Amino acid sequence: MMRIDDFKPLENDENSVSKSIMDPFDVEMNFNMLINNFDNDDDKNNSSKLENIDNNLLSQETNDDKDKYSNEKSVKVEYIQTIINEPKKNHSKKKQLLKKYARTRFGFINDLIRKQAWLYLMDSPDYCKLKLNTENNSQQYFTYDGTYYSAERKEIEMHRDYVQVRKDVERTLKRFLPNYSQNERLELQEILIDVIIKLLLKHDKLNYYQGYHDICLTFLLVLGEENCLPLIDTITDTHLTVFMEPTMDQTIELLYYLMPLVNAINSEVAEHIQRSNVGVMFAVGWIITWFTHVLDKLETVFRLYDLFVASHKLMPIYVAAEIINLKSDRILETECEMTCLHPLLTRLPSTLKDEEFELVIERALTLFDKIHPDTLGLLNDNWKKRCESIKSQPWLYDASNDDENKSYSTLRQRSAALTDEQVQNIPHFVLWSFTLSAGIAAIYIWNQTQRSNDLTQILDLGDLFSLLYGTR
Amino acid sequence: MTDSIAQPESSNDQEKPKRIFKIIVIGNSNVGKTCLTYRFCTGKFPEKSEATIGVDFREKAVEIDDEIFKLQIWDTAGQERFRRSMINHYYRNVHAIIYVYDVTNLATFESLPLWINECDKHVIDPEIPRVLVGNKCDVDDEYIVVQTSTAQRFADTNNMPLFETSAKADNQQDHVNSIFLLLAHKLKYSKPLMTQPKLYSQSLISIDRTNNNGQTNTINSNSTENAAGYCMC
Repeated sequence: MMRIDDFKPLENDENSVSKSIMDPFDVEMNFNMLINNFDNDDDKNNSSKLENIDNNLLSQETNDDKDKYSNEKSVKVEYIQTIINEPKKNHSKKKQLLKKYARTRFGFINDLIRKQAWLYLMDSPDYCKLKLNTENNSQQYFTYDGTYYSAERKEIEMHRDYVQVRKDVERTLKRFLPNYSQNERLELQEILIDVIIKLLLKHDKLNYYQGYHDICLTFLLVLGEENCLPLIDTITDTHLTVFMEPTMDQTIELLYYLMPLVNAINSEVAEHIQRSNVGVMFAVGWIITWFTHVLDKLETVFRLYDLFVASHKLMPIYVAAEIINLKSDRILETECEMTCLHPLLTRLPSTLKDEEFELVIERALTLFDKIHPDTLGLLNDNWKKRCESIKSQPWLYDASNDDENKSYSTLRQRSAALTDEQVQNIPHFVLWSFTLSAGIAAIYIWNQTQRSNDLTQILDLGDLFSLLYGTR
Repeated sequence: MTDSIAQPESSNDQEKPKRIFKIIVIGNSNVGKTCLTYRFCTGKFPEKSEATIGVDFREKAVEIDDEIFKLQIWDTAGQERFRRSMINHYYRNVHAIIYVYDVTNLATFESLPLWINECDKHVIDPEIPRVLVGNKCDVDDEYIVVQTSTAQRFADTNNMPLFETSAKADNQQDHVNSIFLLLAHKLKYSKPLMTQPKLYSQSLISIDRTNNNGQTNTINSNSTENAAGYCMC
């Protein structure tokens, strides 16, 4: 097991690691050794600690736990820094490793590591490559040709989305930590407006949406003005273009994958939400802003971004599904009514503690492995069928009736709870199929129990019907 | 919209039926929809208000002539793409509409016909109460670009009352309240509207009662048996 003492704090003194692994051969060996050590350690720790989270999730975090986490975090920080400081020849390997650690517990942990790791993880576009800056050994590892995105002030201000972007960015006060002075904040906001419009100028087909500014701000805060543009460009291309179509139709299509996923992991809560007629719009702010808009803690936002930049573009939907699953008790306790569920659901992510987010991320990754995005269409078809059966129940919302008649909706109505009245509404063929199956089963059991050679003792379907209708 | 059909359960309900009115607030981005609804519901002006993504929901109880009503207010995103694709879901079954524009921004006023058209497409009842609100009146006169006379003409043409107010100015609190109260008053004395049998806060109590009267227990006892049938659907 790797000990913390094996490393010196690299955050403050990066050269120490470079010195300790100077020889190229040693570097490779040390590197592999470290990976193996850390992998084993990581797996062990992960499984035991995840259990721990599972067991103690809602209980108060003890000081011991905190210490344990901080040890784990500092080991991870040091390890990631070691990976980053490796010579350039390992670039793709580095990327692979960093991708892995973006998704494991606590992500990249702090902003210093995060910034470096993101620069490795996200490829810059071919037309504006970030290049490793080997000349100086400062924190800024990459540079790019800044002229690519340059635009005239007038050009920026004339852009069709300029007014909207300005309005939205000027209202992002709450996103800035108190350690920003007002001037710094105002300056950053102006930079953000420029960043967004410069991107939109380069990609005319992209349409700005309210919420895109939240995502761009996050990248700006982590990567800084000097690096963020090409990387936002990349991530927009790979993850966000679907939200930037001329209309939001595709965004909504995508949102419709949420409930099938919820249904796959927790059908009870899926039905509760469906029955309330709340729709899926409560999650629009989650998905199109990568949860930035709904989360108050910037640290949590950054942690989620670690996952998202290293994952498939639909990962936010999987995270959303697991958030709903994690908080299903709270949802089920809430009255099955749109106006009760909408406020709860829209703010649901902000009710999660940090360790709960780690659990959600872990589960979302597992869910992703189980249900690949390619199969979501099929899953959605199944869910639609299920919705029809949910809707056909008399206590469910029907657009043709007024939706005030919801005395049905007062209790968490379990999927199993059917009243006599509801039974009457089950399609006849279902009842008939059930009767027939039960009859055949009864005949089979009867015949099995008789076990005689006397053929007169063997019942058949005709006998059953005659029993049912009293004729022969 | 139709009158509600009281469910059998509600007839047992001891609570006085309480009427609920759904109000949707629409208008361009940054006209102050969120601030206006927040002012009405909390009596305060939100210092750090952000762009609304999707739809936010707020509610407040009001008393009109000794009767208590619950106003459910849907605060919507202002960007056009949200209007076109998303807000439709929330028009359904609304009882009243508040159109908001910014008196310091002509474009927000000029967009009103778009909002009204969009609304007419989705709201079935042409008689539904509507009001027009010009927000941000606390600014100096020189910044006001939508004149009262222009706005009044527009409001008259579209058959709705006009309010010019400010969600920001504390002295306008009563004025903001009066907008919502006017709607509630109109709704109370207009054609019979749906009733909601219970208050949310009281609903759990009524559930307990239902549970004690044995009827619900019967339902529960059937549930296991019927579960299979349900799944087969």
